[in-house]
Amino acid sequence: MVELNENQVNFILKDIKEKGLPQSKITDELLDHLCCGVEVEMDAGLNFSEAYHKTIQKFGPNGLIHTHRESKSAKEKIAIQKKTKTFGSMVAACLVFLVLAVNAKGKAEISPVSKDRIYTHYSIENLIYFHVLPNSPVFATEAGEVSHIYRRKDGLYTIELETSNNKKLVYDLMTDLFVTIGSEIQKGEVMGKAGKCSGTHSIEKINFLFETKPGSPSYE
Amino acid sequence: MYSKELLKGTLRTIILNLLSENGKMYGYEITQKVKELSEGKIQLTEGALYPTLHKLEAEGFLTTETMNIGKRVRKYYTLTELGSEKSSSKIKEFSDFVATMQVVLGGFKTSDSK
Repeated sequence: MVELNENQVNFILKDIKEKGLPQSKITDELLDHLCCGVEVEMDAGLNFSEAYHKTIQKFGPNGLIHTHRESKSAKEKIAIQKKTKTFGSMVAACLVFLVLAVNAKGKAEISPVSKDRIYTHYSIENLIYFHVLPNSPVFATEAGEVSHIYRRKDGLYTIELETSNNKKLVYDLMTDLFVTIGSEIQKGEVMGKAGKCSGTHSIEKINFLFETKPGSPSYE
Repeated sequence: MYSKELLKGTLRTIILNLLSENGKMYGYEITQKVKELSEGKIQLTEGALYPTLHKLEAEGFLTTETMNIGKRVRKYYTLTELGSEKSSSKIKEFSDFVATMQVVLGGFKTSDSK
């Protein structure tokens, strides 16, 4: 039985990272799967390059990414279902009730702790409020990378998601996050749960999301 | 090779039963075992296998342990107690289903049946 040497394993690891797989336990598992496949093909007489080509082709175009994403989301969906069992459904009842076009400029020095503060930090193009039941899952509306996570004074979080076209999406009043800074998020992926906010907002159950203009200043 | 649609509903049953009979197994091993047992008629795709394994794990039917093989990390899956119960019930359900289908399809009449 052929056993891949370290260089060959490193080659595969480098290649799948270049194909877009993030560093994760699922990637580790897929790496082992690929290595096993290559070893079997090499046992059958192919050289390393041919064997790897044949093995990776079995996944199909974007198959690795798809498998990684589906595996990750399968886990997360179950985790969410468990956490939101008491609510009967994992589908958040979101009602968009306000879309604002705001163009607030200027920067404040202290960290963002409230809706008002965020207005002053961002050049906001669109602001969308959602009525969300506390503990409902919050889904990413677009794919992107988590560029910042801020902890608010009330213990809730603000997530900043940067999309491939440099747009920033901001999700506020979040809790029980499933993501960390640097996480690659797919559209529709659960990022965390809606937190229960209190105090300054007139409506108790509220979360909001807005987009900023490309290149506009973020929190500083 | 059977169609994807036909296999879709049986994947969980296949995995649970294999683990029940073989103890701990890793992903690639599962694909090879299924291929061998079915004489190549069932070929699990990675895109279906791993999400299902991870879902079963998250649901508490499987537990995992990892083994380092150089730079590689091999993840082994084993049935939990809940998983063993699930495995039995899935196999029973599937046997019932096959028996029912046999009746519905009139004894699986095919073009070469006499």
